[in-house]
Amino acid sequence: MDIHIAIATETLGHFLGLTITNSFLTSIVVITIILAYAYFTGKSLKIKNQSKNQTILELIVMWFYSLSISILGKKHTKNYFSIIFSFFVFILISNWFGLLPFVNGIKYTPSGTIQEHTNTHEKTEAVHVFRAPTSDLNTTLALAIISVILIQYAAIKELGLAKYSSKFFNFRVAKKGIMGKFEAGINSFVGLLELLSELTKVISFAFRLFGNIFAGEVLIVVISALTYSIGTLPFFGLEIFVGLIQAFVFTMLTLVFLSVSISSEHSH
Amino acid sequence: MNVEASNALAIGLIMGFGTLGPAIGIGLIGSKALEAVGRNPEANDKIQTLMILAIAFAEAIGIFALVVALILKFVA
Repeated sequence: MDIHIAIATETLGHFLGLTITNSFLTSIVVITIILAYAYFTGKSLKIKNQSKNQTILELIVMWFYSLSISILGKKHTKNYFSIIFSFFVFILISNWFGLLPFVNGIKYTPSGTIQEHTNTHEKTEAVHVFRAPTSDLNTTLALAIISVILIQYAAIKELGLAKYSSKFFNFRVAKKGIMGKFEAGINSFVGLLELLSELTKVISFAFRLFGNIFAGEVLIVVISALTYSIGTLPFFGLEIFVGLIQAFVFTMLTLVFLSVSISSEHSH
Repeated sequence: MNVEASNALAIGLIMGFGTLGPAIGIGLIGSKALEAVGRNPEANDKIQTLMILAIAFAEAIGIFALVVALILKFVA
């Protein structure tokens, strides 16, 4: 049972000083697929006699749009819907890409080739060419950072810098006397805790997505080594479901955090 | 106790104890959501969406334990 699982992505080569890893290559492929689909669907949009393609797409987009309106309100949905839906589509297709049949088959031996140095017992093995982009911590970290920066940007644009930073750093003493000072101390501590929770959002987003998709890959590899191909069928079904749920959860959490940060200050 | 043995032991313990909390949490969230739907069947959609959101939060903690176990196993 020779299973080869690697948490870190494998390098395929270098291009103009940039390291091309297999998940980077796959994310380029995923983006190309999404853009090509969007372009060809956009060219043939009709109001009457729609193709089935367009109907299904409209169902999905309108469902998300009504969800965003119910969470954000109409005005902000107009501004932020496109990036939020892009998160959903990119993460969904990236998650599902790792389940395609050829992803584990195509291997490539980097220019080191398979050598065995008898002194150091080093061996360069063949690496997979494709790997689901979201099973790489780099991609999920990048998505998480973009999401949190989007939330901060939206809040600053909506509330203004002074009012938004007063959510985190409020040292005003509201009431007189010792109770006022006590309350101000607690408020400032809570504000700093809120600042810390913004950072933990990045970690939570990144690791939730990475953990789910990478664990799914590990699960499929291990089960494939244990049983016949018919036995891996329920696990592929599980992974399809998990990929959909994780994309949805990332989008929903971004929406909810966005709505919380845009909302005006209210006393807890 | 050599390093590899304690490594394997740590991996087992992390997964065993680390998934205990999230499992209980998800069960509680699910039961409360079902109770809420039972009291008010019209709010089914809203409750379902909120439940999935809360379950994702709780599950993420279990995934953190899984990531630590994977790192211990595959990165020495």
